[in-house]
Amino acid sequence: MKLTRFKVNSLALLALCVLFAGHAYASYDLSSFASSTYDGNGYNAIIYNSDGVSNFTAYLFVRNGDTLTPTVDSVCLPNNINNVGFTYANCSSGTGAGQLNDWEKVSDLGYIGSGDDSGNGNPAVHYGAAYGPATASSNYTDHRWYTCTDATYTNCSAATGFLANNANAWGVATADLCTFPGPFSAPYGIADFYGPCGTAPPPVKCSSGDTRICDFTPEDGATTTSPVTFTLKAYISPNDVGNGYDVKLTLHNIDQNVLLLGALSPSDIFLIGTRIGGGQSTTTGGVFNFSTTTFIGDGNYRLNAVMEQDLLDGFLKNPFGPSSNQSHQFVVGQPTFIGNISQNLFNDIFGANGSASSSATSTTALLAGCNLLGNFNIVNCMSGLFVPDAAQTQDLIDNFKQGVATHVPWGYVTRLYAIMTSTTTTALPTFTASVPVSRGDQTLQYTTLTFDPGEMLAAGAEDLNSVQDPINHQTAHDVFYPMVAGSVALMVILTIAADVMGSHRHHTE
Amino acid sequence: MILDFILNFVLLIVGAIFSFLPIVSTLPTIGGFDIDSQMVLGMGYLNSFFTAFWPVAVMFQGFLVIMLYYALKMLLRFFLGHRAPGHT
Repeated sequence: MKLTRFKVNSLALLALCVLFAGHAYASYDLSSFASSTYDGNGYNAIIYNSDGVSNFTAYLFVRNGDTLTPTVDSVCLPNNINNVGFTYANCSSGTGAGQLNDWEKVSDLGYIGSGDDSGNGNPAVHYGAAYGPATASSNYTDHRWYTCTDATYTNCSAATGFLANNANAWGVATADLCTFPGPFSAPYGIADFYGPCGTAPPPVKCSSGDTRICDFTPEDGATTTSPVTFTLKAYISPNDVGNGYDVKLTLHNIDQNVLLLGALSPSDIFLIGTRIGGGQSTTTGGVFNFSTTTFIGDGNYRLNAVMEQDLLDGFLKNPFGPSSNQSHQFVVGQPTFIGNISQNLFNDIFGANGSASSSATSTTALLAGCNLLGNFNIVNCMSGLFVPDAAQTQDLIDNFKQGVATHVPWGYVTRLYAIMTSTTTTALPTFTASVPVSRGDQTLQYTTLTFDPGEMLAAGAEDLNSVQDPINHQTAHDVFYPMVAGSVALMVILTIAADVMGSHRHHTE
Repeated sequence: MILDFILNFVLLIVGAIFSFLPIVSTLPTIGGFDIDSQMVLGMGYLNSFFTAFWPVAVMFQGFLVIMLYYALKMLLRFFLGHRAPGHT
């Protein structure tokens, strides 16, 4: 009996701890990189291998010196940087030619910049992004690139890399930078690509690489309104010209496609279903764009994009041919509880192999440690398998609030908790009193007195909080707050501990 | 991933059960007494008091934590039913 009571009390204590620990994680969203404004500290740089082989794409960044005057929404490269095999922008040469557009994607980079430019009034260390087959004449040993975890560029981290004489080492991440998953170039020896922890790598550019679906919208995790514009961009590699490829974009309403209402769910909507190039086979390679706009109701949706290679004029699909099968999940207007849960379950099942939404990226990143032929890491692997990441935990809490905690009977507790933890203040009511005042001629007159508790409290608080000790000039709050908070915390802990242990009860058994 | 899947699955079932029950936005009015607005008003007064006298606010926060602990205990007992220890 004692043991069982201990278990129950311990479970309550554990749940309490979990509630308070729920917000201990932080995650970042690369969408914060979508735009940039110069704040005097610089811009972000992201460089990544765009096709896993030889092409590199960069979102440029420079943490420039005072001599550079980049305009808002432009990114400049440092002046007087020795450059190898790369036409770089030079802000000092004037607007236009000397600037790269905001987060402009620069393809097939050779080299961006580094080196000591302190002689030109710039910082000794240039903050650029660099990689590429540098020539033998280059000799740069202190390459740094920065990424920031917020749109205001206040929390930036550096990774220092070395690229000397065509050497092929790349980067040493600091504690705040994490490895992005994905294949990286064996020819260039890039072992890892680093970025802000908890974020996804930037998208791969479409105009190179293998035949595939490059991207489609709405983006995963987006919330939009009707009518919705659906777009799909596919790339046909020159090596695959002459083959037939089908692309198909299918919309599923996942509010009704679960539980008992599945039979009543509306049919899937085929938004796009066509042969790329229109004929039996493609005659040219390149990027193909498709788009359609339609009205759909509020709710949760899953968008599935498929590209397959046809055989025998579409009679068969080539199981060994290039193909893409990806899904995005999004919300139109107001989401539903069942829709949200359905999306979460889908992410859990398909997030691990990368075919599902990018919201499972953190878990996916950890699961890269399960690859026995790759960077096997048992801790990361187990964490990815069993520990929900911050986004998943937050989703769970939000869905619990929406689907359970706001409904009868728990809704009353939730509402009571919301009221008790509210910080909204209400002015205390004033009181008036008529006081009889006796005059010398024995007649009575009444004088009205007004009592404002708010003013009285403010005056009392002024006395309490403004008095300072003469030596350290600390107020009563400064001196006593740690003592009061510590005492209260201790009493709370002791009270709960006593209840968990049952030490204040008399047991008769 | 696995734990998240299990939790989501449980939440889906529990949520589906409770989805038929009404959503609570305010506390009820009983016998003409609006509990919700009175509690909001009362907490507003208390918060005004707390802004002036912070020691009371700290004690109140401690009180809330203890109440939350007891609420969680009640929740566990609700799910355990008659098997809950101390149930008579």
